[in-house]
Parts: sequence; structure tokens; C-alpha cells
Amino acid sequence: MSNLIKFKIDGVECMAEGGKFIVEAAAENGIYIPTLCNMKGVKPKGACRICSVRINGRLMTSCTTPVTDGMEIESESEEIRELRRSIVELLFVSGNHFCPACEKSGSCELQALGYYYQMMVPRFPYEFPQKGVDATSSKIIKDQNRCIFCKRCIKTIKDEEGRSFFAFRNRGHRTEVVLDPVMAEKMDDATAQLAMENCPVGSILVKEKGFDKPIGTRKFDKQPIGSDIKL
Amino acid sequence: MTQVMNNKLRKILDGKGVAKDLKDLKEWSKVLNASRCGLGQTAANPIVSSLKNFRPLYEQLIQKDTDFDEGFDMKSAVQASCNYVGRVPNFNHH
Amino acid sequence: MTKKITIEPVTRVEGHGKVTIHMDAQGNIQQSRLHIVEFRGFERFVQGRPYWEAPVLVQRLCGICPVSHHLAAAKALDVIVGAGTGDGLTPTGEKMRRLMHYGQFFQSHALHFFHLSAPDFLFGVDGDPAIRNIIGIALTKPELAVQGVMMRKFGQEIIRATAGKKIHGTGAIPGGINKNLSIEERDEFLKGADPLNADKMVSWAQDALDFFKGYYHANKDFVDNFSYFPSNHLSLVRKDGALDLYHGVLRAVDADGKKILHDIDYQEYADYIEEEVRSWSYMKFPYLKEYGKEKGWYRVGPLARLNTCDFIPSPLAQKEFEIYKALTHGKPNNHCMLMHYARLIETLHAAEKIHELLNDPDLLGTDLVTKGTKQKEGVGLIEAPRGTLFHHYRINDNDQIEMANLIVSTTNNNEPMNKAVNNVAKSVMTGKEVITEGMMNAVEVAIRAYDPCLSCATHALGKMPLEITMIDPNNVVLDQKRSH
Repeated sequence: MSNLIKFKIDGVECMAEGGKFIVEAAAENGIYIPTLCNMKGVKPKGACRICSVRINGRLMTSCTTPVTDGMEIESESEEIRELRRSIVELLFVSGNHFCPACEKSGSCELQALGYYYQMMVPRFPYEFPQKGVDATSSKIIKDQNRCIFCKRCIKTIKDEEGRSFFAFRNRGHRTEVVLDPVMAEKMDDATAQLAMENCPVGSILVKEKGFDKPIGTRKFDKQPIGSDIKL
Repeated sequence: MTQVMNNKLRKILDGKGVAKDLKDLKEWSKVLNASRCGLGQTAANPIVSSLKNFRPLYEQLIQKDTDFDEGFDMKSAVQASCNYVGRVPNFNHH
Repeated sequence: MTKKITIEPVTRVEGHGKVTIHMDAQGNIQQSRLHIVEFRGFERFVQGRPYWEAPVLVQRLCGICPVSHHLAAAKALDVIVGAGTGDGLTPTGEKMRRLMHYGQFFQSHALHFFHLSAPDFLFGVDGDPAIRNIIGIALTKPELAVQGVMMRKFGQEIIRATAGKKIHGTGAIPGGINKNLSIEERDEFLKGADPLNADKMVSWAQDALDFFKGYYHANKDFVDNFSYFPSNHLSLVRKDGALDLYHGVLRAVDADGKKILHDIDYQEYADYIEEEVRSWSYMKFPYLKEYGKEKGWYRVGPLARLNTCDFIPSPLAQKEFEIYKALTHGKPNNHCMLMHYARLIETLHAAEKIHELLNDPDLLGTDLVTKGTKQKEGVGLIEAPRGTLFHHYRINDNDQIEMANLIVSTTNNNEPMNKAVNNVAKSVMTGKEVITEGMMNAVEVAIRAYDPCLSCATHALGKMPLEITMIDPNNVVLDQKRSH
């Protein structure tokens, strides 16, 4: 552990191995920085911007920025909190997220962040986009209404040869994450289950499996997101 | 975000905007500073700089004397509901 | 010159409705209608959703009896996942659902009786509207108000323990239930601190029944003559003819007690029941096919249930049932106001059943879900507090709901409520120059007896503005009165 360096998050002295991404370094020091598109063990992409922090006056995503010696990071300032809340609200207005009838309610990271940032109602007008549900595969339902384009499924759900089951289609605001219909036929139950678990929202649902986890036992029922990291 | 701002701009162009919409555009543009790429970070610039330099043109388009957006007056609604149940409203609390 | 009277909104009911009464120059009632002016559209937007979402999605129809919708949908989906037509579940699955349902009955009936209807009994139909509400009860008879609140609480806690949440839980899933009852939860209900335990609830249910019986005997003429009209009655009954609120066969009797629908399997309901749409209401009018639109309409709810069933399978309620049946010499009861009587007998039944189920070890079992050969279509019926509730779903090859048809309890009571409104309007308003608030409330009392759930929300504490407008044939407003 010779590589230990010192840095500060919101004025708190922290220590970690140099070169670690800020999110992980912060977690090791008991500081929670929210993430949505980031997943342990997967190359970070910095897509959702929810982990934005201010370093030397610039906004950076802490999942893609390695920590360096003497770095001063601003994470929980009112400005950054407001930015993160805006991002959560934007995700809510740009899709159709109806928590009441969603299987993921209680285990959903987006919902949990909504609670974490005490979002009441989005400041932005709802877009109510027309989006479809693809239920043609035998294992999975892909509900486009709830997709937040985090790319986690594309990066983690692959066959033995490393080919992704999911892919992007179209561009701009017409972008969709779709399931390859040919590959979908080969998907086994375990992969389907993993895809559902890796989805931060309720966009990927395993067929015929819903609501079997009672209220009160779901991931964020008892404590808010980030509680496992916070000191 | 660009989509949200675009919709807002259209609302103003359609003559349905109010003063608050201009404020919102300016405020909301800050979110784009966190964008991933340079294109995203500068996407709001045309709106922000035109608002700064040609504000009167925007103001010609918006409806004056009305805040249609917030047509709901909390104070009078509370007062009305209190009248029904015979309570004294506590406005300081809100 | 004709007059048109509008009562809008109707207060102390769930949801929003209005009444219009047309009078001719002599003050005779030409026509009265109850309009349901809300449109919900659940049948449409559940289309395309995965079928297992239905029980959780459609229960959002209502905040008073979501459990009924939740369970009716789950029962329909039991058929779809091949778990049988309502009786193929594991003992734990079925009994947990029953417990949830009885909890729901208990709280909903308590809500209706104490909060919505009792003010009319305590203060009179034409009592001072300023105190004729739950607040008035709390001020004059605090123990009664507390009882109402605590009975609701107990029912709600039962729902929480079975469905995960007091309102809009997720307990029932296609083919079973997602949790059993823990020993701690069970003991809390059985031995909880006074008054929140099952024994107290049974005795309070008896008290409420005694309270109504007292009112009934003191006001027998009024109650017996208030909006009496013969009708058919329809409900589920257990195969042996017992009152069963969760599952059974469909039976209907006519006003004299003759069976006109012979204990049919409800999967075939569409062969026996049709619905008519009328232009002035968003609510459809169902009727028995065989008897046509004119004669085939029927009542559902507590009155109907006690008319169709042969006995009640719980001792205290059965005893009360015998006293109640003796009033009409064993014949069906067609008295609108005795719906309250019937409702309270059911409340007692629900309390007894809760007590009985809590002592059943099956609730602690771990075998929760059954599945079999998948079907494309399923029908689920349940006796909701307000009457028979129909849920019918068809799915496509991709497990998405293709068609949904819901006939909710209040829809079944649509024609009877219109009849009741007409009846009361005729008897209290005919030939009257001045329409008083008391007369308007009488119309509402008739509607209230059916405990209609006009949509999803309770806005009504008897404090909402009531508006009456008199309009001449040229639509000139003659008079307008507003009370609150």
C-alpha cells in the first residue's frame, strides 16, 4: 500500500490508492456519490452525469475521473445537489415512469434517487413520449417507457462469445435500447434474471415474474440508497 | 434537456409563453454544463446569449399581465377551503 | 313550465356524481337521473401491459377498496396461469387472500357506516347540515367516532400484514400470494392492546349492529317506506348456498326469491350478462340477458348478498341473519335502507372470519404459489364491499393483455340507484314549491345506501358544496342555492 494518496471531498480528508476512480475512492472513505450508469467491474462511461462533482472549478464525472494526490473535490454543495436533482427530474420527464404498477418499485435506483434528493414533482414539463413495449422474446419484456439509456445491459449481458444481447437503435431523442431478436431466442433464464437485476429501472422484466418480493423486503424499502456506503 | 428547452422555446414562439418561461430557460440551461461533450455543453448557448443580447424580442412574444402557468392561487384556494370548514387559515406556515 | 333540479356533487359518497331531476309545471317529477361524470378508462390502458401487472395496476381504480380489484384481477389471472378457477390455490395462498379480503370488508363497511351514513341516522335526514357529518359525530358522540376510526384501522392493519401496504399493496400474485403471515403479526392481531384485537372488533361489530337496530325500531315507518322497490338480486354464493365473499358460483333471485340464475360458473358470465350504454352517463347498465333490458336489471351489494345466500357460515352473524330474515318472512328484502342492516351483519361476519382465520395454522405456511397449464383467458369474480365485481382478461402470445373488461360493483347497481333516486324524488319533491336542503339530502341518502364508489377518491366529508339550480325550458336560471 505504498501508493496511498491524500485528497479531500467537501473538506473531509480522505485516503485511497492513487489512480482509483473518485466514486470508488469516496466509497472506501464512507462517502456516497450517487451513480446510475456506473457498475462495479464494468468500464465506466460517464453517461448519466449523476455523479458529477466539481474539481478545480470544473464539472467532472467522478466515475471516470481518477483521484490524484491533493485533489479537492466538491460533491455535496447546494449547487451540485441541485444539478443532480435536475438530472433525476429530467429522467422522470423524458420517459414514462409510473412507479405504482412497476415491478421494480422499491428496488429501482432511479426511484431511490428521487427519494434521496427529495424530489416532489419535476420542475420540467412531462414529455409523455409515445414509447412501446417489446414482448416478443420468450424470456424478457423490454419496456421502452422506462429505459434511461444507461447502457448497463449492453455492457454486461453477453453470450459466451462476448456478443451483447442488447444494442442501441436510432439516434438523438429517438434512441432505443433493443433486444436482438435472434440472440434473444438463445437467452437462458439466468441471463434473463441478471439482465433484470442489472437494469437500474424497470425497463427489463423477466416474463411471468412479478411482485413475488413482498413490500418491505425490497432493496430500498428500509433504508435509502447509499446507506451501505455512508459512514 | 435540449428537448425540454426546445419545447419551452416553441411554447414562447407560439405566443403562449409567460415571464417565468424566460427565467426557466436561463436557469435550466445550467444543467447542460454537466453535459458529457462540448457539443452538449454549448447547446444552450444560442438561447442564453440571445436572451442576454436580444431580450426585448423575447419579451414581445410573451404574454404580459398573466401568469397562465401558475393560474392556481394557493392563498385563495386555502382561504376558500377554510371557509367551508370554518377554520382560520395559517398563511405563515406555508 | 318545467323545472330542472341539479344536485352536484352528491356528497358523502366515493367519487363524483350528480343528480338531475326534471319537473313539469304542476311540480310532478318527469324524470330523475344519477349521472356518473367521471371517466376512468382502465380497460383501455391496461392493454399491452404484461398480464402480471394487472392486479397492481387496476387496483389504482380506487383508494377505498383497492383490495377487491387487486384480488378480482389476481383471481382472473389464476385461471390464466393454470391455477384453477379460484379454488386451486394452496391453503396458505387462498387463506392469506381471504384474510386480506375480510380485512378490506371490515374497514370499508366501517368507513361507510360510521363516516358516511351514520350522520343521517344520528341527526336525521333533514338534520342541520352543519353538524350532519363525521365531525358532528365526533363532537356529540365521540365514542362512536373513535370506534369507527379504530375499526377502520384494524382492517387496514390486516391489509398491511397481507398485502405489504395499507393501500395499493402487492400481496396477491397470479397463482397465489407473495408472503405468509408471521407469528408476531398474527399474535398482534389476536392479542393486541385494546382496542386493536380481533375479540374487540367482533364485539364492536355487534355494537354497531345494535346501534342500527335501535335506530330501525325507532324509525320503522320511515326506513320501511324509504325508496322501497322490488328488484332482482345477484351475488356469488358458496356451492352449498352459504354467504361467501371471496369465491363461489353466481346466483340471482327475483323479488320473490325465485332463482333466476342457477348457481352458474362465473367463467361463463358473458353468456348471461350484457351491458347497455346510455348517452348521459359514463357508467354502463348491465342486465341479465335472458330477461332483457327492461326486466333483467338487478341489485348487488349487502342487500343482494343476504337475499341470495341461504345461510351465513359464522355463528354470530348467522343468528343476526335469522332475525333479519324474519323481518321479510324469509323472502328477499327490497328495502333500500335495510342495506345498512345487511352491511352491518356482513361486518360482523367479516370480524368473525378474521378471528377464525387468525387461528388457522395454514396462514403460517410456506407453500405460496400454484401454477399449471397456461390459458389465454380468465375471469375473476369477487364480492367487493359494494357488490359483485367482475374482472375479465385475455392475453396474447407475448403475455400482454389484449382485452380487459371490468364490471365494477357500482356499475351493477347503476339501474337500482337511478330507480332509487326517481323514487325518492317523487315521494319527497312532487308538488313542492320550494326545494329544501333536507329534500336534496333525502335523494343523496338513497344513493348513499348503495355505498357507491363512483371512482377512486374520497373527496367527501359532507362538507362539499351542494348546488341546486332551477332552470326553465328556455334555460333561464330561475333560482340558485348553494349550501356547504
